[in-house]
Amino acid sequence: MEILSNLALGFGVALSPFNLLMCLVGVVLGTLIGVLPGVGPVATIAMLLPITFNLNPIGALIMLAGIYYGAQYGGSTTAILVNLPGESSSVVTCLDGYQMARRGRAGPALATAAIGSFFAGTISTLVVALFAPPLAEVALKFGPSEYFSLMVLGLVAATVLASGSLIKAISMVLLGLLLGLVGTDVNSGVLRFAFGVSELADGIGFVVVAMGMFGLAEIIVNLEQKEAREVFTSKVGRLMPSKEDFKRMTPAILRGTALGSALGILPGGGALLSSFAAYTVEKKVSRYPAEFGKGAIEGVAGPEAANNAGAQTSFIPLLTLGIPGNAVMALMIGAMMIQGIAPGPQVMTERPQLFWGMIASMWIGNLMLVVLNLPMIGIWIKLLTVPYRILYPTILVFMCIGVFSLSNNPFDVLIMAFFGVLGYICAKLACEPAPMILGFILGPLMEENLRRAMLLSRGDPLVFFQKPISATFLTLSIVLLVVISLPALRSKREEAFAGDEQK
Amino acid sequence: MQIKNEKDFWAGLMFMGFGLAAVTIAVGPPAFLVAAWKSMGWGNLQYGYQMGTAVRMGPAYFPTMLGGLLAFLGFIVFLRGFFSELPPETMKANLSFGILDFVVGVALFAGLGYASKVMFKSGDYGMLAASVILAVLSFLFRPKTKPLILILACGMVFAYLLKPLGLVLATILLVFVAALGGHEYKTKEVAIVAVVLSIFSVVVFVYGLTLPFQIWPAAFY
Amino acid sequence: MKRLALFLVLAATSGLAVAQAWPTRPVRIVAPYAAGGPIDISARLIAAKLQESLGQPVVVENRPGAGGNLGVDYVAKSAPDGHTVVVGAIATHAINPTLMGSVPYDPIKDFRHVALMVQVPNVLIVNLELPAKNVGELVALAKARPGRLDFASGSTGSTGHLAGELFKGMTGTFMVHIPYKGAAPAVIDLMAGRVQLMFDNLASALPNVRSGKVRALAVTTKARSGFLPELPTLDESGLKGFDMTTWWGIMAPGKTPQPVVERLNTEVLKAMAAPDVRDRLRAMGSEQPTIRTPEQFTAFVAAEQKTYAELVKRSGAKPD
Repeated sequence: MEILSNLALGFGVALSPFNLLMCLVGVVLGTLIGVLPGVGPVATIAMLLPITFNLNPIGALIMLAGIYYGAQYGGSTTAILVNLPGESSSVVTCLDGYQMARRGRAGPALATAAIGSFFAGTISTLVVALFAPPLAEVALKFGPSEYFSLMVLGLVAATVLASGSLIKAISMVLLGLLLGLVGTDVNSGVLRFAFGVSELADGIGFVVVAMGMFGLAEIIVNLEQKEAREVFTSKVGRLMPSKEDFKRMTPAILRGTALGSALGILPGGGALLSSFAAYTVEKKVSRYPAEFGKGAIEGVAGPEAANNAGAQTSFIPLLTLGIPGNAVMALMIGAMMIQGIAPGPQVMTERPQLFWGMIASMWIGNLMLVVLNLPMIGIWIKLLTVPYRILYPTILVFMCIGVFSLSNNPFDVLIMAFFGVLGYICAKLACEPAPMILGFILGPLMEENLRRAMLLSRGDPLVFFQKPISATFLTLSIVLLVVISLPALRSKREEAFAGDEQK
Repeated sequence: MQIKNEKDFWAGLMFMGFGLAAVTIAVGPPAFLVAAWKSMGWGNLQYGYQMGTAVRMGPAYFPTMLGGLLAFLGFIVFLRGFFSELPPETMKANLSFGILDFVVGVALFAGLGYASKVMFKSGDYGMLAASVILAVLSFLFRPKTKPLILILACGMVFAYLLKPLGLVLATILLVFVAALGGHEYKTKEVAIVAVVLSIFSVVVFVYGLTLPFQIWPAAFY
Repeated sequence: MKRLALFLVLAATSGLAVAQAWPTRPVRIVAPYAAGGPIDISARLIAAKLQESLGQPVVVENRPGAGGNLGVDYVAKSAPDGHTVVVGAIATHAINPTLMGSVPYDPIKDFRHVALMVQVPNVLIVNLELPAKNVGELVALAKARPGRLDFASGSTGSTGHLAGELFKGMTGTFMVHIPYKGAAPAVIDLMAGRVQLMFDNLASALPNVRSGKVRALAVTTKARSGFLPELPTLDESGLKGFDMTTWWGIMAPGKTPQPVVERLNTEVLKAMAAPDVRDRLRAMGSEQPTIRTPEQFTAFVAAEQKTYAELVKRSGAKPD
């Protein structure tokens, strides 16, 4: 079969000592920056671009790719340990992962994340290898109407993220949507909600919001506890997941992988949506829905698998069509151009070693990451036993430096402080930040696609229902909305879910 | 009517506030306000974005719809604050500051920030001054807000003093201010952590990741 | 008289001394756009070479925002000692001043225009299914279906947008402008047929044209491009006088001393002439610019600003 010979070619390339080294450097570096809050793969890859000039192109791209998916692994670690989402796709991991850590189950949480990510990485690499061209065609079929409907579905699903009051969750989503609109409007060029501050011209950065709402707010709330109670229970349980854990995480991982592989192909937000979608699915099909938000292992396994699968499959539009699916892919295109490689469909045929070598090294990279991360769990657990009074200044230092490194502007820290206050208030008022974050990210995209779809259809709103894919998503949204609100309408005691009310 | 559920009460107010703010900013000032403004001799009060039609949505369309919906939902949450049936202790908001403190804080920042922008062309000094003043005020009058104010202040201090002081000193300062916000403050311990962290940061961020931070104060260059 | 001579000698030598001494610490090239785009890439290419020749680290700092204005403004107000420079582009120095009504800097007075780096034309590309094989057929098609054709651009006010508006004006056709956030999503919709045409800059369009995913009809410059010589220019195709080029180059704060500017100019030109850099710039569709000295560059920027002031007004392009 052709695929086998291609894979053989790929592994032959990827297993060369130099490329192996590049892969290792990439994933280690990626893990490191994923762990550090604020500094992300975009900044790092951008900085390393000049170094790649003098490297062999395949090696360079392997390293850069390693940084990208390595950062996904590292980001999960911070999300679980200190409730800080380094990447937008780690936000969901914070929800249950951090709660697991607080209850002494950081070990199983981290292990689940690593195992889930590896499994997802393997499967999705296969997906990329086998189905890259046809999947790319599917990606092309997604126009503004389809994206809009998908995002509506995502937002409705976001309300499931909250374990508390439904109406407050919807309000938080709306708030997030509004905050996401700050900045320059794509369709008209008008600067909205910026109050004359030019730094807001491109909107508020996701990292800044996440650091403020999740990081700062969490630290402040913890410090306000009356006694100097340790945030993490000192009774640290076992390091590895139990048999029961494995039984529960396996189906979640499978579902997450499927979702992530499917959604990751879509340029622009596909990979992010996959982790949110996975969480929603897990919560809905689980036999223990009340555990979600308090440390349900499926809430870590599913999203983690999804975001890794999404990270791998987001290479598809890049490798097959030469189109970047997100900022990192745009940088990869830059790297390819510097090397004199014109990204596009011809890469697969003109440079099979590059294409298949990269695919093979993606799997090798995932393997390296699991081997690296699993033993590290012991070290991370030890870190958690450090007294909180030493831990939180450390977190703050990394957060501040990380945020500052994004655009070298003190203004960003000011915004982070604003969101810290907002996050603190929301935490005290039992309004959950996760739906808001999703609204924040999707808001501008949703509006952009809505308006563009209306422009293209010359004002015909029925277009959303006329296109099959779009219609499917919208119908699903309506169904989901009904399913979610039924229990809420029936029993007025939905506040009973809110375990976080006591703050 | 008694406020049964403080959390919903304030949450509702917050949502309504944001929602209404969004709508008023997007749509622009009402006619009477424009007239009143003009009659005071303050000039033309013009802001707001174009609404457009449902077919060709202007920049104000989406925000207005969202803002309106948010205000409406916020109102419902607000009402719930009076009719909730859950035990009142769990429904207390437990915010460390009251509404007056909040207003004072915002006013300080806004005022000093604006003043410094006018006087020094950059809002930085004003923000820094406001954080320091707020920190001192909170120490004196509202000890419960200590964690909140100090954590925020340490971030601001770091951000605005990074350029003049360089990474090492700014980090050390950051750790000290942050530690002040916590429960136990052991000077020696904090000092050690501060030094270790600054060395670590320099090694990892400047040498390792080649981020463009100045290590030493600007005066040295 | 003797005093004057002494003074002049001292001034000259101190100028030389400054130039010799510079740079004394790391040099920052501010790229006012997000990492990964052609401007950022070219800045990094240059930076690597400059680092060797200047003996000091040269780092690229991304300060995206406001269509490039943020980064440019930041450098305009930075210390004029030659350690902070910016990549100023047609957007920031010629288009935005008029398009946005006002910008917080003066594109001529607040800058020393050190060296022009890249000049790329825009290419008129169309979806493969569109029944138009040349500009003439496209114009006919547009006239037959007024308001039915959509043209995409990477952002409101970009050269792609202006080119489209100018095209409409000169041919008397009515097409709908669909703005996107960046060229990439626009190209996706172009390939899928949701929009029909686009005036993309050569750097990002070249791979797609070469791979046959889109069809190129013409270039926007007066002279044909050396990379796609078979493509006619819009000027040749009936739009007389059509001449639009996207450009960018190194600029420094207005009060940067002359010797520093000249040394920087020499070094940048040298870096661009290096074979590997030159090849990579060519892969982006850019030939070595003909404008070499800072004075020529300044004159060029001033001329461009006037040209685009007129064009923006004429096209009616507005940030709404």
